[in-house]
Amino acid sequence: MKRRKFFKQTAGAGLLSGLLPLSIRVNDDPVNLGKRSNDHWEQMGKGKIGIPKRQKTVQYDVAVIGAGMAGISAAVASARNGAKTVLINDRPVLGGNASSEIRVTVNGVQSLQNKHRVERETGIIEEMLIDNWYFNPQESYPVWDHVVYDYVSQQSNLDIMLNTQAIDAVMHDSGTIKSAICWQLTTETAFTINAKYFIDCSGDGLLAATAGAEYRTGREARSEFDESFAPEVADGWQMGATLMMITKDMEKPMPYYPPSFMIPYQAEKAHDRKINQFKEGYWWVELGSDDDIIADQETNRHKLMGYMHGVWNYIKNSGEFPEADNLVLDWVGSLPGRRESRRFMGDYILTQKDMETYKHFEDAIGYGGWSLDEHNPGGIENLSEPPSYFHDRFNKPYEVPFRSLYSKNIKNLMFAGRNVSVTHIALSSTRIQGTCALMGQAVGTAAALCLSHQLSPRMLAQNNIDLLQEQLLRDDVYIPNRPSRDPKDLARQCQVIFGDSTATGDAKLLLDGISRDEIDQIHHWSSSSKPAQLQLEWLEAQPISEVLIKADTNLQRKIMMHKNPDKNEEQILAVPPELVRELVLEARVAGAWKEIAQLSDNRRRMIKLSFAPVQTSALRIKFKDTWGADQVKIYEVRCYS
Amino acid sequence: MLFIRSVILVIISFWGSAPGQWTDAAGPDIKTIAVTVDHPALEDGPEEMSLRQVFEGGASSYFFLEVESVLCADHICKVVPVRLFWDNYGRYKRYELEPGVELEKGEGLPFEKEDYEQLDRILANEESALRELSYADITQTKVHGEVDAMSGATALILSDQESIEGATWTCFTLWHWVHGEMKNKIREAYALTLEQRQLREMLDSKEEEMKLFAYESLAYREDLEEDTEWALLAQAPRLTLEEARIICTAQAKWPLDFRVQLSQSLLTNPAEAVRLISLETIDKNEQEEEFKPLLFDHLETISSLPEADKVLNILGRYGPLMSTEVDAMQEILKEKDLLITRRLFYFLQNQKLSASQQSVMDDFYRQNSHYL
Repeated sequence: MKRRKFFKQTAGAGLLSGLLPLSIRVNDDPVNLGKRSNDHWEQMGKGKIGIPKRQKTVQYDVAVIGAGMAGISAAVASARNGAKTVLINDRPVLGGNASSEIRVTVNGVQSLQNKHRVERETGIIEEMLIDNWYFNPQESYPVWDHVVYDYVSQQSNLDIMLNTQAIDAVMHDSGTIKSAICWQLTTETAFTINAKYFIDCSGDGLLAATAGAEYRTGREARSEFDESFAPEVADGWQMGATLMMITKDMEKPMPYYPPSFMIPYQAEKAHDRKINQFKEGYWWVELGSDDDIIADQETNRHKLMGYMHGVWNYIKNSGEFPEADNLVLDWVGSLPGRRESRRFMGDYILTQKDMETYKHFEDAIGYGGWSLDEHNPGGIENLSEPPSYFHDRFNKPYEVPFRSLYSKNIKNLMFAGRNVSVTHIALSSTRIQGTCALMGQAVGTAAALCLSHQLSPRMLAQNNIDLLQEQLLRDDVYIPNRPSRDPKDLARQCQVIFGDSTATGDAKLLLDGISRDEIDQIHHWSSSSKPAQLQLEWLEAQPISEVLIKADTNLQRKIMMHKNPDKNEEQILAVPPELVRELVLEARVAGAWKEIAQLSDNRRRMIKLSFAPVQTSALRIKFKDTWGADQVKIYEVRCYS
Repeated sequence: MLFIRSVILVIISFWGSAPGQWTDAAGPDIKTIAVTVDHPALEDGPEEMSLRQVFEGGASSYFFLEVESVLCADHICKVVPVRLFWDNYGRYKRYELEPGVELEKGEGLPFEKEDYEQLDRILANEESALRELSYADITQTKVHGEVDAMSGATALILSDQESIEGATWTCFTLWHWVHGEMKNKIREAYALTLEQRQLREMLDSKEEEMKLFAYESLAYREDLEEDTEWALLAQAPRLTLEEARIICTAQAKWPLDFRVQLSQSLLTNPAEAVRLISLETIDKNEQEEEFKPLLFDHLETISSLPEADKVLNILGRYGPLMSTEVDAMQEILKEKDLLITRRLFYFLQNQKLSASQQSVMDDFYRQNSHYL
């Protein structure tokens, strides 16, 4: 791969940023953003003249910055696991790259070279995606924003702050972050957010950077981590941002008049930029940077808007695409979806080699599997090269270690998403939103565990990683090569588990700690019909107040929403039909079966039934219905006191 | 000239027939069977096709079907006829081209020798990732480093071993004919040519595929010959789970007295999963009391809770127990492990008991109250 020549920045600058970790001065004198003195505010209702005092200090256990799929997963996981949490987002809607503002498809592990082409992410990300089919089968992006808002805002223990940007860090003398200084633009309020743990999922990572967390930008040299797809010499290459669009058919010929900022598309010079659909824009309408991509964002945005219209102008007015005569632009992006900027350094830097050798990490917390898909930062200004180099693909998921998700030099700082501790080449795969969401759930869970056990993330990684892994597995995250062995799970102590019929699998497999089928390894029980039931039997009575069930949602089928309806083929545009919809839980007390919990219209793969403690030697789960399937398929049953 | 030589080489090395030969599509030993089959690339749904069954020495020997090399929506592909061959069990054997006809890759290039070999290997792989691909996938699939601008993402699915550069369409089309619905059509057609005597002989085969085929074929038949019934009864104690499933699913169409005997025989199978399937089948019979004695007999031999639970659930539907039946069950209370006897105890609690029978229950309760 040739290094691009058209960037104006010197090679020396790029080389420097690639080789030397940039260290930012720790800000020990933050600007007091809310201090006002010159207002002359005559408040007619009160009949007074005054000065607005809009400074607030709030206290949380965990502050999550950035509400893309990673930040949302982090915040929800943190709150669910008991930490008082705030989710701070600098946009008016939740969702980040997936939101209606940007509309990047929520991709995950797919296109594996194996029997499992898709190895879908479970846990929080899946809950949101299934909710979307329940509330938004019409695939409206603005409605998706509200589906996500509904999902997050109903979580207890969690506050949302929108239109709020964390712009500075206040540090303790010990070198940990004390506060995030935030500006909420809609209320003109300066917030000082005090928290014990900070999680930066903002992508660009301004808070983490101002705290002095070590980070890198650009590409590592091939020799540093023995990465075959890395350049021989480090450089500033950062993958770009994209503007998308959506069209609609007016069923009659429609003209297109481009805006004044349109930049003509030079189709004859374009390399590998096919126009073979007209519905959802083109991911290669993209611009990156060879130096300081954050500084370039607004310049790039303006140009991308021009290039996007340039491509559409070519489609509509070149005469090459009569099939687009009736089409018009229905939605155009104004906020580019970003792929890369800062990568914060953790105790471990995940590399291409780790991923391609499927390295096993004792501190694995999740997985990825998107191909090594390295976009060309020149993007649409570098038409002679392909828009992306699809270097390689994976046979199975690779593991992501927890040590890549906390700062090596700021003790109470974690991160998830595209700004984590991976090499540039590794990022070309880990940046995918499904993978980012798994990282988010891991750090959110970690923050809550650190809080309850009074640990730093590093201590959690080094001495207590089982705590984190077991909680993630309990909460329906899949960690390759790490079956659950939760000693608190009473189901594992039962003498017998059996179903009233078995079509495939075996009820005993529901206790093996792996809650999905792996390639050539079955971990499920499926009834031959519905309704169906499972029974667990202990010799002695057990005190039980919670039952967890991991049901089937078909993890080998894609589930995300698309801008282009053609991509829905093979997907089911509804709650997965395999999923259990209705069930009753019974306990045997003094020889008689007694209903202790029931559920209807279930939308969760992880079904959590909580009830008043019952002392029982047998439980019976009656699966009454699914969302369509004729059989009931289950992957795990757990019981807790 | 070079390319002619390579084609001849391929013909000799693969198809086992001399150049210029193309298996006859009609003749006294060839039966034409009209079948309606679907294929993921057929836009208008299933089509009727002519499957050929070839007989040798009076017996079915193999099947073949003539298809188009590519089902291609945009009609830009070169299409040639291809013959696909299966054995009697629907297993892929080989493919044939008409003499002088060649397959084509992208940009009009003819197949090389290695491409023909590769195609044969792809078609022989029943587990190919091609199974999971849809027609739309192919249009979006990036293989062999070709960039696909439509998906904007890595729609990378096929390994280089599972496709031929520039001929993914052909691989996809032919693979789905070979491993799609045609397999069952062939098995059905072959089964129709066999007598029960021949199927009975297959039951003793060492080849599992043949045995499964025989069970499947018998499962379609409503009128079993007496010898077939005897053969199934003899096999029942050693059936695998897969075989037992086939037989149990078929039971509803067979006479009651044979079903009772077959159930009795299946309940002696050493595999618990097979016994449970048999009990599930009895469970579906609901009120047929003919099964009651064998359930009581089975209760005496039971060693697992799932079986005991199933048996008691079925017996519970026959109404209150007779006193002698209670006595028999109470004997079991003294013998089995606690998980089973506890289930039995709860079952008997709801029966009408004599004073002495109640006394047995009281004794059991005293001895095991910690577990009840």
